[in-house]
Amino acid sequence: MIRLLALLRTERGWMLLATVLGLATILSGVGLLMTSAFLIARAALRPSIAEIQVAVTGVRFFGISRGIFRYLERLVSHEVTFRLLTRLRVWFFRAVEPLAPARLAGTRSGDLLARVVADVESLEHVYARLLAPPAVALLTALLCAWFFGRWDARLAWALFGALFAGGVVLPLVMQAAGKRIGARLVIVRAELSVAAVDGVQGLADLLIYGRAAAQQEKLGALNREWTHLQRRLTSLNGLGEALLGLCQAAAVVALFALAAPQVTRGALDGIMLAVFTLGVLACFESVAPLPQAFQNWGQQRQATQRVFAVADVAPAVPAPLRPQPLPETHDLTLDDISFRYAPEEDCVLRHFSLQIPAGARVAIVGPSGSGKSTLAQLLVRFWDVTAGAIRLGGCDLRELEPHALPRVITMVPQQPWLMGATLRENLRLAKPDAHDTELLGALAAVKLERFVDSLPEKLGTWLGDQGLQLSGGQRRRLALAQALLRATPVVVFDEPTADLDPATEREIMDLIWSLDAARTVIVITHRPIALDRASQIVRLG
Amino acid sequence: MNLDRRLLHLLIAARGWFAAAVASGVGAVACTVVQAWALSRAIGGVFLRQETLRSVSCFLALFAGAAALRYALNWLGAAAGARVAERIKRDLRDRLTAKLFALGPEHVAGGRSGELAGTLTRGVEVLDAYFAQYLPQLFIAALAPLVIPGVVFPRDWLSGVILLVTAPLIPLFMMLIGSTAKRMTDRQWQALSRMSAHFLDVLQGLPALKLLGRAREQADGVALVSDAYRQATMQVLRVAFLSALALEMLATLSTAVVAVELGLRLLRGGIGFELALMILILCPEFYGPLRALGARFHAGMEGVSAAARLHEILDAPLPPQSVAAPAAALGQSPSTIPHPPLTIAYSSVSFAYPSRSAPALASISFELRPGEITALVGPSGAGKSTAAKLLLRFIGPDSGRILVNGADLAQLPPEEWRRLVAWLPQRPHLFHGTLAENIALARPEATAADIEAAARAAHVHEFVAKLPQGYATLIGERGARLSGGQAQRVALARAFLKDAPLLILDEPTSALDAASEAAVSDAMQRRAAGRTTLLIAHRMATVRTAARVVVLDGGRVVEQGTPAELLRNADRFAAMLALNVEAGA
Repeated sequence: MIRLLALLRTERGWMLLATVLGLATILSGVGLLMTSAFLIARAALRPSIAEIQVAVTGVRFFGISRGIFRYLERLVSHEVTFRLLTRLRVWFFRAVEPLAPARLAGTRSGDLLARVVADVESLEHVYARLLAPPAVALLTALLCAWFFGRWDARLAWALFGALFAGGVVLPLVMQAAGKRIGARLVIVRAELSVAAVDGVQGLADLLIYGRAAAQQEKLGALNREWTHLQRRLTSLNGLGEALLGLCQAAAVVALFALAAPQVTRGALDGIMLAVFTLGVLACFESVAPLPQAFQNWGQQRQATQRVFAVADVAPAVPAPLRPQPLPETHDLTLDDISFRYAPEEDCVLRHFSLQIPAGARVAIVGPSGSGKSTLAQLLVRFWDVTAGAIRLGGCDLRELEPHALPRVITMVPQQPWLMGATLRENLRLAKPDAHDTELLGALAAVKLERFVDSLPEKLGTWLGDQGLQLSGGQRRRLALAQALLRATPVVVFDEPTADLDPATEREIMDLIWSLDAARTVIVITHRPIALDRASQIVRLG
Repeated sequence: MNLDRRLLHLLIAARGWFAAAVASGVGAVACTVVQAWALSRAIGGVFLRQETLRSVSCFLALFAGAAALRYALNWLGAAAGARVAERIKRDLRDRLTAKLFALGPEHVAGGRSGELAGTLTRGVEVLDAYFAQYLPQLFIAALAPLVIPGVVFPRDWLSGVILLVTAPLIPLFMMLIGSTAKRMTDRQWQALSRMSAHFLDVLQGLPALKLLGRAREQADGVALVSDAYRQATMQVLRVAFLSALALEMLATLSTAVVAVELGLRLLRGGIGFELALMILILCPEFYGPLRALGARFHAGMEGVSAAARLHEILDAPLPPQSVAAPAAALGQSPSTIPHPPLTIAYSSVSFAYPSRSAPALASISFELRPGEITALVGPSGAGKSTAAKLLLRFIGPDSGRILVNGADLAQLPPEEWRRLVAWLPQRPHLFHGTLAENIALARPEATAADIEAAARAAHVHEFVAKLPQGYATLIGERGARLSGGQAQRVALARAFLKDAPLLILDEPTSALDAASEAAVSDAMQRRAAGRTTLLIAHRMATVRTAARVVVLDGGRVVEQGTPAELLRNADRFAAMLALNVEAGA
């Protein structure tokens, strides 16, 4: 948590402003009721109109200011929230970028990454839901207690004690009471959601294998438990709110019992009796959001731990101390390399050697599990070899600056990724300064010209999850167009034709083999087809 | 006012608890009136009547007692509201589940399945706030303001008028500003959702961005998009929060106006102090329920829009022949169930999907014979999977019949019929559970030896043996991930274990490499003996195992015969085979 706060201290100015505005909102409410009480009590003594003029002005002021402060406070605290989000995202991205893809689970299971991202995003609420409520409540309590204490210290302690009981002790007790239900609720929710996914996505299988009724029964049982637990938790929260109300009533009674004898004795102006009583009623508003803040504390702490656990991982490919410049020649040498993903696992590649001269056309074939994709990932240094060395133009890959390597080697991955952005922006990832004519040229080369022409927004068409969905073949072609635009001396294709129908497969392979002859082309595939144009065929496994 | 007639209809089942929730809410408001009266009487006593703490202690006790009753009622109200929500959500989710199961895979599967599963869980959950909070609050907000002016009016009509005039303005403002804000958010929705998805998108694309040498500079992109998101959202919020501003303004300004008006009349002796103080204390309580309603307005809007989606599902028409209809409902006796071996004949069967104009199948006829593998081949979209779905009874033919040993398939109870069918879908679903449970789906009572035998036949055993927990490994939604080929083989083992007389295999080797493909084809051929097998394929290695081949194109049977016959004809099949020989060499 401390690390998180240290990370977010850049936004402290905004946070301070939001806190002050939050305090001003609550104090306006307190002020409105106290000045109103003062006004009425004073007026009851029938003074001249001039004597209550100040109170009238105060009432009007607080009447207007509260709404305005509330509005500003909500705007500023949302501003804070979004600023924190930006800060967190950039920080997390910078922390995670060196880890990709080897140390990032994202390559193997996308949902794990999605979960961490959800954690990162949930931390945006750290101010509004976690820091602000206690800060505002504490400041309100201190200021009100100070104000009451100007007349009698006992009043201050009574007020502070009641606020503490209602704002801190009560939420803690209620949280302890709801802990078991809450823990079970999390489990049941997860089970229910799995059962729902299984039931919907697996419905065909369930029907054929005669298990639909059983699944429906299971869903029903989980549904009953889940709604029942939720009902109990809601009732418990209702009890907490009711007890807070009782605290408030007890505070009013206590303040009255302390102040009334003083009024009788003449030590305290009777007007203040009304002022204090209504003041107490109003300042309980500040502790109302505290139970929620307590509930959030646990969640936010866990989210923080998970996020830092990811960000603290050491990268799999350390940057060299003294990076070498990129070599002039681009011959690749795989010198007796071995590789395993983790020390406890078996070697995926064992004592493998290969020479790939610049301009060669190499096909690497073998059954699944023979280490072909691993080899591709080693070439672009997603991982470092466990033993042996890969050399580019005689220079060990580990000696090169990691960010320089993509200028020489491009790999087209098995499942090309497209950014949620326009077609133009996706292509420009490969060549940022490329002009539209150049982009269209690359698209023509991969035979996507007519497809792009058919799009209503041409190069401006949005791709990705929330845009146009492309077929597997179209994605491959786009990735190929990117590789063409990059024009690096070495291009590696990892399974360029998996899942494609035979006709498309043939076309893609033709495109790959007809790349400019000066470039080294390495094709990795489990389907040994259309390899007639390879200058070298290597079998793995 | 976010009242949805059909949602209100659901209330009938829980009307007792709902009435209790509303009644305790209104009762609590009545208690506040007593509280306000007792407190102002106690203050006035000490302040103006020179009474002592002891002499006003009965009023203080009344205040405390009224407070205790009020909060007890509040708790009761929350508990009753929670019961309403529990009852309605439970029933609704049960009904939705039953409906989805009755609609069958044809309606439920595909791209929308994730959304449907979400509707079943989160979609129903949204209604919690609607029924437990918004709706009771709406009724309380409508009734409670009548209680307080009812007390205030006879005693001080001027304050009563102020309260009554300002009260209806609050919901009015809420609606006016709420709908403006909604229009703004709707307009910006696409841009906002694209921006909020950007971060995850870029993180998932990190490996690819690294390959393009563009990873590091994306940090600036993340900052840029996040800032743009902030600015765009703040623009919407500036308007959206105006409703909160208006609400606060109305409530606090009215309190201020009442206070000043009371003070001025007190000055002239037009009103008593205790009555004035009581009205002042009641003022925030009067606006309280309306403000609470404002705070829950969003829950109300969400509830109504979620309900629209739920009703859409509940109202979806059931397929003409219910795929999940219980056998009894169809009035069939089990004696009509055919006995294996099964000969199945498609006789002029046509089918069109409602969403597409062209028929998926146009009067196709062919036969599946026992002990034989019949391969269905053709380009994608030719109608192969549709033909299988008809046999699985996920859909029914528009015209024509499918005859099983001479009996019309449509006349058989679907559940009884499916007992005779084992099926390997193109994209099998792995359930959350162990590998063994997944394989034994059809026969939960199967022994470990049975499971292993099926697993060996489907070439699952090789990779399971390497897993540290073997067949006890958890897979599915939250378990270990299997590759596409592994998942397919697990489903094949599932189909083998069912040991049914009809085997339907949809592209069983599409995710396999050449060696596994050959091994699995072998296993299939062995299984086919004594059974009727329908094989959908586009890889020729598997087609060669077939005794007969039916070539589909554009929903029509263009050729059929033995593989050798078709090759001799040198027509479509031969052309496809040529392409694949090269591919599979």
